[in-house]
Amino acid sequence: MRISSAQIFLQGLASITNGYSSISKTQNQLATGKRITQAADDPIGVVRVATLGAAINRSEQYTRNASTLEGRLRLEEGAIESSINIIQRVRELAIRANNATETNESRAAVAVEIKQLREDLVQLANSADGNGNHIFGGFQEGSPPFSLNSGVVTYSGDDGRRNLQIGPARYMSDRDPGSAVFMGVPDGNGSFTTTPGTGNTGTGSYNGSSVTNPALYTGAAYTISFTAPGSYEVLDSASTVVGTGSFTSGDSIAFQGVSVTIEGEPAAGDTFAIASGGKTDIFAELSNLITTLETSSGSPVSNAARNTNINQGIEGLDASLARLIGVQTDIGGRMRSVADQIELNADAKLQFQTLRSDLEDVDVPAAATLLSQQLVSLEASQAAFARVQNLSLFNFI
Amino acid sequence: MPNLLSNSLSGLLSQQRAIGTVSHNIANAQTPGYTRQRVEFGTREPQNLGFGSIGNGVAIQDVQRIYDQFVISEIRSSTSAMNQMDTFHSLASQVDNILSSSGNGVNVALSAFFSSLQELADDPSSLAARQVVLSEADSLIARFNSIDQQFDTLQDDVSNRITSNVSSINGLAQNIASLNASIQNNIGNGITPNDLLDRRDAAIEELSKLVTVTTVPQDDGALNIFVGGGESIVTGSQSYDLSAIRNDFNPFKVSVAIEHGTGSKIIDDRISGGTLGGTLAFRDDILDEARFTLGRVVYGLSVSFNEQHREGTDLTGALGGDFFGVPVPDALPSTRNNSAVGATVTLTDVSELEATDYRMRFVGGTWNIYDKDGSAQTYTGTGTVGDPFLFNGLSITVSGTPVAEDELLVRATSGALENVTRLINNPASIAAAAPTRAGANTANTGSGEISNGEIIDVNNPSLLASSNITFLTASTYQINGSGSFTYTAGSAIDINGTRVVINGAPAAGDQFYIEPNTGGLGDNRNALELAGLETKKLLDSSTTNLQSSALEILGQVAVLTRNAEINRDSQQIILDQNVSRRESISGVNLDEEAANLLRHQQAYTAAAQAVGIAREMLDTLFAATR
Repeated sequence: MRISSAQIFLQGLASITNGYSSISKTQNQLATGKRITQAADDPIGVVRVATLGAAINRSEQYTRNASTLEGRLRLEEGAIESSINIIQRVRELAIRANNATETNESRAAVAVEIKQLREDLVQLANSADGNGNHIFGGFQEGSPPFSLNSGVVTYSGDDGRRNLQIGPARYMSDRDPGSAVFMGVPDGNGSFTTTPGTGNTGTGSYNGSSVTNPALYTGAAYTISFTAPGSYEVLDSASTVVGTGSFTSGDSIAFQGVSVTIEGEPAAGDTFAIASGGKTDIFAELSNLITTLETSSGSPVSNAARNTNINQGIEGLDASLARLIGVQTDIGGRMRSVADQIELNADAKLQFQTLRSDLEDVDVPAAATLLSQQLVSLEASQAAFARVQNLSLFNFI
Repeated sequence: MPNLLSNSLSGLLSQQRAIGTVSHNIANAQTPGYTRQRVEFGTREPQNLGFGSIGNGVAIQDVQRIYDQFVISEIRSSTSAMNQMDTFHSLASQVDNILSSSGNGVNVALSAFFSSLQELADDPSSLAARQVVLSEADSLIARFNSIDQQFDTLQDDVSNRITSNVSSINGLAQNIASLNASIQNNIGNGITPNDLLDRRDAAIEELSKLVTVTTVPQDDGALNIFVGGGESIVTGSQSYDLSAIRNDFNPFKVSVAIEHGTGSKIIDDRISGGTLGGTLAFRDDILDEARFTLGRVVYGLSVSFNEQHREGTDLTGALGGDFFGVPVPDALPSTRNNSAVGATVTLTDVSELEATDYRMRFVGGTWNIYDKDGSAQTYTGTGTVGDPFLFNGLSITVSGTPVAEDELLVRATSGALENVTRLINNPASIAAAAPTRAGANTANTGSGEISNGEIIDVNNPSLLASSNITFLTASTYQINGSGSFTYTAGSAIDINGTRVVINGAPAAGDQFYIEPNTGGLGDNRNALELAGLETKKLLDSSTTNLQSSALEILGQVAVLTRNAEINRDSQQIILDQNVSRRESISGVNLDEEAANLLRHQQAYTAAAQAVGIAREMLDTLFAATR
């Protein structure tokens, strides 16, 4: 084929410029470490890379949210733990105060200590996080949710549970409202309350109760009425006798699936009323104990009333402990779930990152090999260009 | 003897001319568009002497241009195709860069904005977290605005390119017309003007770089030239100018038009090939498209975000207002309209919004509405206030009385990138909380639990009224002391715009309440909803989320850029092959010319020797007769 002189020149030049342009591309890939330097390099890949980038960002965000959540749960768990310690201390004090060897004065001293513990508990219930936000206020974290006024603690927070997003479709609350921690504790033994009649003249005192057969217990109200110091009958709300028996101190009176233990010597006509329990709060349990311990007593009848009150108080403390331990267990469960979720997020993130790396990162050994090949061929083009351009018939004329 | 002398002389002269042609070739070896020339020798009419004829020497028959017309037209068409792809590719790469630059792409800004909302949900009463949301919103808006500005710059660039391409086309057309005149003149006088033909071919090739042309040769040597499938720009020695005129709707956009007897006619749609065709294709397929698609992302974000934001309450307990300033779609009348017709456009459903502007044309007493591709839209309504045109999430009310051929441009999405703003300035005004909350009475004896409450109708006039749900029995409840409804665990109960869900087994007498969320600083319910918009399918009839929609245009531009690159490279190969073919036919090879030079020099020397011999013979003859 006939070749023109301009063509020889242009072809030589073109192979050199092409050589430079492919070297520059490979060099750019090696310098940035990215296979895709512009979207047009791999249109489908770049969209996948961006989608994966957003997914990685979200995984990281979920993990940040989960870590925040973990920290908050730990803070709440600390407050609950301290509350449990306080209630246990109060319980010890109550049992000691119930001892017959204690005097009015020593009981008053215990009451002072319990008062202090009640204030500590209010303070715990008003705990704030590092930003001064009250953790037991529900949504109303801006002001202390609990206030103590002449022995009565009121809750001014709400039931709001704040959820944080810790996974693509996973939400978890980062705290519990005070209403679900310190308030709404079941009264009595958890099922029913036992109240001695106000006109009781004997020394019979309440000393614990339980539901022995839930299938039989309907929640109806009953009255245990002593017909004589050694015998009793049980009446339902329609005053129908549903049980009778003889009684000695410390006996458990059992009927309709429940059992009530009474100590001392009830007089004829003394009554103990059984009613299904309502709700109270942990602070009220402490306040009741304080009132009981502050009240001086001397007569056997008032001693019996005091024993009843202290026993009821201990029962209330047990219910409070059960509530707090329940909350603690729930927090523990959530902390485990969060830890799992953090791991899940990390796995997902790693998977996304691997996928993204496969798509956008350059294969360094392959690119380096390619670069040296390209350099060799550019050098060859340059050498060939110089040699060919030297050729001319005019050199010989 | 005179025969011998004149034969030698003819040889001398012819070889001299041939050497002249060779030197012309050598001189023009690097001249673009030069076609090598070759002298065609032929014998002169012989002298018949009865016994036979004696040759009368040599004469130059012709100086030929060595070319192949087919290759020349191939080069023109591949030049047009290559330049179109090259221009398209280089412009598209710029958009590709704007959209894909990883540090400042829309997707990264969207991710960062929604992350800041998650952080807000983590700590809704923190002013710092709130401030970050405002800053990230600003970055996102700045991203949209900056993309808009870069698009504007490109739009200006496109307009300038169109204007300068049109004036280059006009200059070349005038040049070709005057070359046509000279060629006609020469051929009329029986001369083949080789170099003029070369110059005309070069000018046409130059023109092919700008736009695809078709040529029709005339008998008198002239070439007539057409663009856009039949618009004549050169006829014989006459050229006709194209013009770059301002768009009827947008003075910053220009269109290519040709002057006619009745006025100018826009021929944008018919221009193809060359840098002009590439520029026009880029404007329609990429620049406008990117503006439409990203504009729709802006609408999807701002409208949906505002709706959700209005459902929440801020740190002061007030209902959230609009967070983003949503751009308002508008309708521009054409400058050619013969009436004062106008239109008001409102966005009725962002999820139905299409990524396009619309052109409305009043023909035969009705409005025809076309999208960016020119396909007619089906709409309902009559365009009046009471019965507006409704289609694709838009509502349009026409004002004024249109006359036939009036046009309106509905900018449904294209103005969004530029005009989106942030309206919330105080960090405390971000509505992270919900206006109401629900709770249970602490004295409840059952195990019923109530959800926090979700706002389903923020406009309910009694939204902030306190309500209660009281269980009459374990399976029935009343609301605010009236009615008796059957309780199903886990089913929704809607009261005054708030939806709550009760689970578990409530006991008779148990009470639940809904109350205004006074002091609810720690509530993040609305912040979570706002953060959730990132993955919510807000666009395309609820099939596409914001991230995907923003990526869609990136992918689209990348594919078009990629295709343009591939096409450009393949057209370049075709062009190179054609140029090689032309070069191999018409190009000058210096070695060949050197050989020819030697050949003609030898022939010249030989002819000169023959003159010497003729002279010696004459001398001999003169001496003999002296």
